[in-house]
Amino acid sequence: MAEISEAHDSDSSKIQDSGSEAPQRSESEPDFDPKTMRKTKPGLKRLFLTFSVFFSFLLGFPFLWKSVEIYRSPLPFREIDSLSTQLRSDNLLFPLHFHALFVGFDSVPDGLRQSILSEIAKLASQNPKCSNNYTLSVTVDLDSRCLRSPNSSPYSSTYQCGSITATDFVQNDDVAVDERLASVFGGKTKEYSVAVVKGGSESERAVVGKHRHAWLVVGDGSEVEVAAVKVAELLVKVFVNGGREEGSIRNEFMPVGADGKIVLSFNLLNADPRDWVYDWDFEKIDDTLLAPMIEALGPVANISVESQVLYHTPKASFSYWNQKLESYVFSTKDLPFFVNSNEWHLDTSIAAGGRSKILQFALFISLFAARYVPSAKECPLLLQLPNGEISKTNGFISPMWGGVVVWNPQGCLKDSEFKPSTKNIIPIQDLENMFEVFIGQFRQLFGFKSVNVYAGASGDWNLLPSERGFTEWELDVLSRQHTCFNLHSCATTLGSLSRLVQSLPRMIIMDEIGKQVKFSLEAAKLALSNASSGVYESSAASSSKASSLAEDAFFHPSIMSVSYYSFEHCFAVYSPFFLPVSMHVMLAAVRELRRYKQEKAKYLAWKAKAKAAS
Amino acid sequence: MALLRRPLLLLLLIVTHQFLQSWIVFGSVNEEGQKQEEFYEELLLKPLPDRKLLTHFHFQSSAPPSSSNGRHHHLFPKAISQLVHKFRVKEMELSFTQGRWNYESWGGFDSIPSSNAKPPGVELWAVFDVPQHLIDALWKNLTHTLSGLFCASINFLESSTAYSAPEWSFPPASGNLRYGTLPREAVCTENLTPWLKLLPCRDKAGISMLLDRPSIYRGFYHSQRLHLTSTGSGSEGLDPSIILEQTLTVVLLPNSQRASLAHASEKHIQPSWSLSSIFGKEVSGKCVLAETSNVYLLLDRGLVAELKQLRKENEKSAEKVLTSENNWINPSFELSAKPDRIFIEESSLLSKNPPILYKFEVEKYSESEPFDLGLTWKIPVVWLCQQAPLHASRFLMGSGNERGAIAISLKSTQSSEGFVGANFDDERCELQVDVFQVVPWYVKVYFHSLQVFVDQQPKAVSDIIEKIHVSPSKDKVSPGVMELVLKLPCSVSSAALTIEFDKGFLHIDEYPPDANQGFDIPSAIVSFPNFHASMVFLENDSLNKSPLLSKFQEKSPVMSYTEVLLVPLTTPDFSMPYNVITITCTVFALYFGSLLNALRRRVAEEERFLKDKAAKKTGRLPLLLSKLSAKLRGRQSEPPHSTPGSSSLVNSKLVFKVILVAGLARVEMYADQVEGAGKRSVKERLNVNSFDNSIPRRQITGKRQRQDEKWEHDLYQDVPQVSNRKVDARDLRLKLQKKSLQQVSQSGRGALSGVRDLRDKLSGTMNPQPVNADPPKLKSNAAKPARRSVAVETSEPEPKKAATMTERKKAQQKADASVEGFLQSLGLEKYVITFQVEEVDMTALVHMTDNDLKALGIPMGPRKKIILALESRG
Repeated sequence: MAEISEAHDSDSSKIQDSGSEAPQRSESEPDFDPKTMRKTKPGLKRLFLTFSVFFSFLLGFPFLWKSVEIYRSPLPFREIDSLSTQLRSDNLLFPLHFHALFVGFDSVPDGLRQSILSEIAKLASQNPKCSNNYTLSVTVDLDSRCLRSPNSSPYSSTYQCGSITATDFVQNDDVAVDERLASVFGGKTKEYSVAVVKGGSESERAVVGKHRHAWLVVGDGSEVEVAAVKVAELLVKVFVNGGREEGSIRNEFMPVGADGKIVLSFNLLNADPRDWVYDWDFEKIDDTLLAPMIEALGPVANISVESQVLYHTPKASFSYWNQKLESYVFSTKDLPFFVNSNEWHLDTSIAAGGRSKILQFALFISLFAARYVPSAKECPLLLQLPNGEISKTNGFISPMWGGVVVWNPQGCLKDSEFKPSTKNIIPIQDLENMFEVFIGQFRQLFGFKSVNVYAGASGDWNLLPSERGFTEWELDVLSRQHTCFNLHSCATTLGSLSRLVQSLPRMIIMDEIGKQVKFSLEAAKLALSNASSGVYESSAASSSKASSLAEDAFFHPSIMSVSYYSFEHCFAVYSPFFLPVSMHVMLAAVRELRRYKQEKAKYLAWKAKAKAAS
Repeated sequence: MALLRRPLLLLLLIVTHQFLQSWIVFGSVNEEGQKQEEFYEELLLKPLPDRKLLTHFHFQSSAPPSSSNGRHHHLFPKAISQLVHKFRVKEMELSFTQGRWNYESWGGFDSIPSSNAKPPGVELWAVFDVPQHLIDALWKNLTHTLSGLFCASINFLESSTAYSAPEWSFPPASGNLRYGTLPREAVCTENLTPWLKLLPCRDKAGISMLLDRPSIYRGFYHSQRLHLTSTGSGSEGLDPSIILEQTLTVVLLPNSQRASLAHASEKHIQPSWSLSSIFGKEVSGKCVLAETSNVYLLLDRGLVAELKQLRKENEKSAEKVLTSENNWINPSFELSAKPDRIFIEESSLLSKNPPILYKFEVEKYSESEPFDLGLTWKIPVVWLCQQAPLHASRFLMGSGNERGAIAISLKSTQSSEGFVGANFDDERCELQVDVFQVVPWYVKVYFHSLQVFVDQQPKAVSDIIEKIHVSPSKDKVSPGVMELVLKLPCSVSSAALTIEFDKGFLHIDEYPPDANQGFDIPSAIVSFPNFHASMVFLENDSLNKSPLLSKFQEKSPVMSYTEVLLVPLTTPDFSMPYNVITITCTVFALYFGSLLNALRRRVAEEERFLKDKAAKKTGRLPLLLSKLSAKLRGRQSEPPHSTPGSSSLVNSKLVFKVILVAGLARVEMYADQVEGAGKRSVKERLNVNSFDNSIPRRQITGKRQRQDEKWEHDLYQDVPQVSNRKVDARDLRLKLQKKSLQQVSQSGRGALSGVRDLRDKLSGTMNPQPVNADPPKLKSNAAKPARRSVAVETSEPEPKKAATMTERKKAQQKADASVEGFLQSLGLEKYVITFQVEEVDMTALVHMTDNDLKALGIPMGPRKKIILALESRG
């Protein structure tokens, strides 16, 4: 249409000239060529009109663009990046204060300090994620006066000279010694102390207490250097790393849910209640054994305990009869098939929140598969270790899942005496033993050893077990590790969120996500500052908060809405109007401009001619 | 001083009180400490009049009040206890139902139907023990938890449009009640498994072993219900005690072999059944964890009366036989197991024909001697179940997508002599009926249009309706709830309520995926608060109390659910919004364009130009148009002058413009659908699409033509691909044929005929394009490259030529083909396959000896022929 009108226009100018004006003008000016000239100035009206429309469209476009823009809450990308770089560049240093006290040695504290520090430097494996910032102070107690190394930490100065003598260590009661040391060093300080005592007893004793101290009693003739090496190993391997071997379980591994909660779900599984039904008095155990441990672990995780009794829960794999042991043996290689997830309804707890970690502990009672076929009865059932020995605890753990303990009832060998289908209660003694195994398993899930001896390269250390399940220094290790793990996971989560958000420009980001990210960053910063000032508990708490907020932001349901308002959608809605209209507008503008130029040229030509003529 | 002393006293009082209280609590702990969590399992069987059998499983677990409820459990399911604890549930009922309870033939007055007949789909109600403003939040969380627990979409009840808060018409009436239904929820074994998981023995032992999934889901009706009540306040530091009642009600048709070959006379004999015949399983002992494990067989009132009647006819004497201890083998039916006890209903009112209950203790049976109860009928029995006073049904009236009416009709069941009699003592006998109806918000009910008809006579609403509570629906916020109390005269034979409604419009994203199916209006609940279904079976041993029987004793009001209604709403075309956008935008663009052009127009110039043009010659189109318009106007056609000419030209311009813009819009819409549309020129597109606009039907043909063009284009490349594409495009069945065809074409005997074969076959099965369909056209259309390539193949049948071919593959094809051709020339086609199997081509064949051929398994005659022919060929 536009073409046609244009053609007409160009023609019409000719006609106009030839038709109406030419006859009059031809008389006056014979050399006027209507094809190439015109006498009037070409009008600007239509040009102006079309261009104003054109420009108003151009001007309106940004407004339209703005109006169809989706809402994106501004995220602090820079701060996220800075957090992750800060963590990556090894800035997460936990300050650790060591204090070595040498009693009965006559040596220079500075030299001792140097030798211990060099040993520590040799032993300390640099954790790629979190490192520690050591300070060491050495005190040599010479009964009447103390020699202190010059750069001692503020805590070590609290030590009163002569308050520890070799006679304190003569007695063999480790617990009493531990209490004595605790009173001397003051249980509240965050300092790790080692007392090396010469004399007292002939035999060498190395014990790590329940609090943050250890002591080493050496014979009279022993060298101070040997003791220094041993002290250095203790500091690095036990107090810093928690006495676990490197690489046994991943260091950052923590069986704690994203919201810092653990649900310990204890299940008593009666394999076949037709044979016997056992019940337990869980409430008692809960109060006596579990409650102190849960309280102790408070800063690291919020633990709740549940229990239930399940019936008809056969295990998933078979065991074989071992004549020598007169029992059924289940070998370790079949353990992955022990847990029967089809029949063991170890339900996830409703009380637990969405991302709590649930650890299942199952007490499995071995069974008669069929009472009348003696060969098929599976009691007693024992677990066999890979080296052929029978497991003492008769249990196993599965990392991040929980543990299983098999319990064989007393009457299981003499089945004739046994009265089936009666409700029995597991004897409280057995139950306590089993719960000790469970606590051991729980410690293992956290990566600690369940044995009470730390075998180092330079000698063994006895670890004094705490009645709360975890000693203070172990809890410190957990807190540090928890903080480290949480901060890193928070940084990774936030980093992936920022990458995701930046890669999808049409993703709607709710204010809530922005808020969560902000709070998460704040909590992470708080955790960092707390960690660097050595407040482990609060840094663990705020780091878990940071991590859970970051997860909340990343898994916010509104992030799914990315699929809804895509660019294609926008294009499909707006193009039916803007495509044809913009064609009109542009064509009109171009044509008018062209025509105006043409006409102007004509006018100029005429003018020139007129000038020439005049 | 006195002022100071008073608070002190108070404090002292409080402290001592607390101390006392805690002391009392402590005492009760000790007392309750003996109380264990308990579990009962029971099964009730009841023959139904329409040859069916009602089986009702009843499991009950109870947790005594203790401080560790929700944390430590021995028998009671932990999940449920945590649920009660977390959501402060006082009472809750969840039912999954499939099928509809047949109130006419299965009865409506017993305890079983009144508490176990449920509306189809999911019904959930819960009473919370929290202040009003917290209830909704708890309800929402509860629905989510339940949907996770039971593998069902109960979370749809979360939205405030899906649940309601009945005030008083729903029986466990209380302000803290929330009620919601999902009529369309499909119930299946995924819902049963989590339900079974709540039983301590699951389906591994005890009565629940009978729960054979195929036979349950084959039933006419099954309703799986979970009811929990928590009693005792949690204020004393103790958690309330919880009673969890799980029932499964199944109505099954026993498939007895006799029924199939029954004589006409035996048709009325009820089918005999046994547990093993209906469930395919037997009960091998009880669940060891259960306190009691019983199976009951209930003969209801009508059946007992009928049996007595029959007995009287046969032998006049025996009146007491049925109820005596030794009657489990009697002339009318026979039980396969001896009942341990027989109960007779003790309710004083209706002592004429009391129901009889046979009790079987599963405890006595074991794996070696499983329990399998069977009932064999000897004589035909016809009876009726006890009906509710009125039978309620509900239906829709009106047609169209705009408005309609809901009608609830109540019909007297006549059989209600006994219990109506109870109310006759009053001067004005009245029958109270409660109606509870929830309507979704998109069914917009006009409550003023409520009409009541009693015995087909319209009555004033205020005469009949004693009490009414209405909470009107709010759009997209809450459903409408109507609660009514009707007082009907006892002599009523029928009553009806009608209420009109408008159908609302839903937002496009509120439609479910199957929007065309219609929308459900949940069942109305019709209850008769003056009638209570209860059966009293006295047990003498109080120790071994059966929860099922005590359930029967409870006075539960008679209730019935009406049908679910299906309301068709106008289903929009979901591409509508986009179409609307497109068309509006097009109109706007058109308007805008023409406005712009009108502004730009130079009328004077155009006129002059047209005059000039008219002087030269009249345009064809304007002429035609002017003629047309003249004809339309009924005038003589006159040669177009400049003015009309210009207007007609403008018209034609307008028409073209319309076509152009509409065409453009269509092109945009189809741009992504039409493959390779970009290759064609705009002009072509416009042509095609303008066609589309004028005659929408042609669009399809246009498309096909385009496809054909493309197809033809592809033909230039290679033939096999063509057939491939075509087959893909038409029918997958042809793939197989194509394979064989390729073989044929490879074998190459008489290639032309082979190709023709292919064509024939193709055209035989489906109808492809005419181009391929008829060979003559193929032949004649030599210019077509497709034909050319075919011709190339046909012109080279000879092995020699094939040998000269450079491409190995092709050479082999030719050679192979020539083996076939060669054999064909000898009339030995049937051995072609043998050669193909051994991959013998012509070159190999030439070198074959007699022995080789023998090894191929070719008989003497043909062998000689082949050798001779080969020799003759050299």
